[in-house]
Amino acid sequence: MTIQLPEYPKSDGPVAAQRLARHREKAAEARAALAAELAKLDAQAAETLQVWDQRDNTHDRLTALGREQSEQERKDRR
Amino acid sequence: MTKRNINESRMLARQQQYGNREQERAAIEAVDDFIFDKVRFVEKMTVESAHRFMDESQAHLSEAEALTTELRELRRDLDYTDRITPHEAGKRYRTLLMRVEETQKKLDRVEQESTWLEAKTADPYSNYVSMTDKYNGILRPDLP
Repeated sequence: MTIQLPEYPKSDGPVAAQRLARHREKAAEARAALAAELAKLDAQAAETLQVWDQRDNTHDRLTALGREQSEQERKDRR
Repeated sequence: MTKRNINESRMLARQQQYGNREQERAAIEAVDDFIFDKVRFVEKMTVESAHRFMDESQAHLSEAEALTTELRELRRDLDYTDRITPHEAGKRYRTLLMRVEETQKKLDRVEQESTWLEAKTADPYSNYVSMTDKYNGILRPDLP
């Protein structure tokens, strides 16, 4: 015959365990939110860098074109 | 001397021969109460340490929240390309990235520690039994 042992009475432990579970979830959520925001930032940064690069290229090309035009005008005047 | 497992000791108290029902009831109750007091003591310490841990690690959760906001702000500044210079953007990005890596490690530890403490507090009795089984002879109590 199996003897059934009386259970340990209800106590504070399981309540703390529930709080810990919520705490763990909040940490996981915070970690996921950080990763998601970093991914969005990376995507935006890639887009912005492209705009900046394009702007630099445009600036360089326009400056070069302006320089060529000035030289041509100087030659023409001579 | 090998001490008995907690449940075995409780069983043994129930299998003994007693003079009368009152003696039996008193002996069994004494063993159960003795063990439950030990469980309660360990449980109290574990719960206190869980509360302390949650209070202390709350700072890491707040830090992560603040950092997420800072990442969002930099993203918005980058969206309006004239709000920020490439050098300033690079400097802010680098600093933020280092902080993100550091904070993610802290959050990892918070998750691991929470899981560990959760298992211990969810079932204080089983926790005590496995603890005394693990450290046989050191932690197993001498029963009354």
